[in-house]
Amino acid sequence: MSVIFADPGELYAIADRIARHADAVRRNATTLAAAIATDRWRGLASEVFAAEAGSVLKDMWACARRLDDAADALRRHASRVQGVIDFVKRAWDDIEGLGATVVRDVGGFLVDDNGLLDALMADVLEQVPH
Amino acid sequence: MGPRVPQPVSVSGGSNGVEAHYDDIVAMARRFGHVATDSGGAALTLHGYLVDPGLYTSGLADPAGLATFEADLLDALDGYHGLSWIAVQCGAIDVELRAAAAAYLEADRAAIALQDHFAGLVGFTPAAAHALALLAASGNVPRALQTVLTDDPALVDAFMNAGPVMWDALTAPLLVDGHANVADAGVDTAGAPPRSLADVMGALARRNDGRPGEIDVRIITGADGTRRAIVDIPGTKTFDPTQVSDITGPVTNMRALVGVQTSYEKGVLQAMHTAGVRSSDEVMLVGHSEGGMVAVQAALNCAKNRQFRVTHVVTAGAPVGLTVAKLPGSVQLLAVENHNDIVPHLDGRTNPDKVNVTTATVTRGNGGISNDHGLDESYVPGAADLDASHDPSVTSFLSGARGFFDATSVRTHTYVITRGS
Repeated sequence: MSVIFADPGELYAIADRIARHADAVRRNATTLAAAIATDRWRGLASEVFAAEAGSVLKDMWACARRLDDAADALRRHASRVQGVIDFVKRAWDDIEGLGATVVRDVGGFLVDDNGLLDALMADVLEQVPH
Repeated sequence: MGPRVPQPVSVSGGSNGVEAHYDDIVAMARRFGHVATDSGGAALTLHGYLVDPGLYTSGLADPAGLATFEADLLDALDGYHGLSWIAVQCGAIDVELRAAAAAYLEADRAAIALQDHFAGLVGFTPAAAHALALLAASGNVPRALQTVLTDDPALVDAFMNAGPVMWDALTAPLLVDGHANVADAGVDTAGAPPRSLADVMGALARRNDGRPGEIDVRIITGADGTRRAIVDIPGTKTFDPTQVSDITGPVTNMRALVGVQTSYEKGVLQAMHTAGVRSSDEVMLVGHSEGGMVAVQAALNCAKNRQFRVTHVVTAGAPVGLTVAKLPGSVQLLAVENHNDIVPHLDGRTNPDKVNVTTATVTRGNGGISNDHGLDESYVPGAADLDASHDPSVTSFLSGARGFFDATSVRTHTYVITRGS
């Protein structure tokens, strides 16, 4: 199914992995923020660094949110794929069920007592010269 | 003893010095470098999901949903300030910080070199004016000369750099130093375990009042039974080169100044062995003037041969600028220098700014060369100033040496070291 038709379980797993990368980006941002907060370096250069680092940290938090969004989008997609698979399965089951009914009814019509087959056999036997 | 109220101190080096900040900057660079690698690797892995065959076939069932996901992920990875850009930025900050740290260190070294050669000239004019006024008032030429030097001790750096230090470095190894004779002078029952740096300096001052070459090996024991040792090494008692048996004479000074091993140092180590100091005991070496130079050299050699575990060195008025940079990080040094004391300038070098080397300049004494260099007059009250100081480097040194200040008992072994030919 996964090659011909994607496996939603696999899609959910990929979404989880993307979410874990988002968490890792957040963890890194937290670690850097803590290090910058306790930094004892002072002066003009340190202010330039702090501004630069602050901007990167903001980007990291935003990037983590964007990765979470992508993971959510993949989960929604996996859910829809699962819906399509369920629909196809149900349709297939319905077709199978309908086929079985038709075979049973037609068979019954043909072979039951006093059915079509019995009547035919009776006609044939009547016309056979004794 | 000078005023009892704490006097201001100025501090360089130590846990709050330039090198410590340099280390901080490099550590920060390393963190950004790590995040750059991490983010770059994550971006690569996440790009791989975009070309996953299973993902493409899922598009048959929900093409719009797949397109939304791919657009979101591409935006997070390669969009404006996405993960790939973050990796590049963090890498760039890593490089920038390392370059800044290197530039800082280089600038600091250049400033120190400049100071060693020319700083004395900056203070020369006011010092000379003061001396001339004194000369006019008293006609006392030696006192006027002394005033020039004690007002502007950095002049000594400039003078020493003009030749004497280089001459000493060339000739010191050739000076005959004989060998150390160590005589047990018994146990000194006076004195309590130290509670502060002032107590440590006070004990050194007490031993300094003894005979030439007399030293203490104090075994202190904490409440938990931990043994430590404090070794008091007084300084020069004679400048007469003919007094060969006096281990504190000029030969020891000239050798120790440039980092050549001395018989005085060998005698100190022998005394420690005799007193029962074990190789696992933490040891604090405390030296005044020449004793400080000997202490640094002993700490250096112990770090190499592991004969004793010297963890702390305290020097008072000692010219250790030429040797102290070699101390490994396992040895913490506090160099106490009185602002007007000319002796710490005899090496012609400002002490290096290193994480494990804290130089604390106190302001004590009365303007006389001997008084400004004296333990009782300048360095014991100066040590009390440091006990009261809130400077991060000083407090860091003292808290690291806390084990030496909370012992419950002390046994003081005294030895006299002389030079044998």
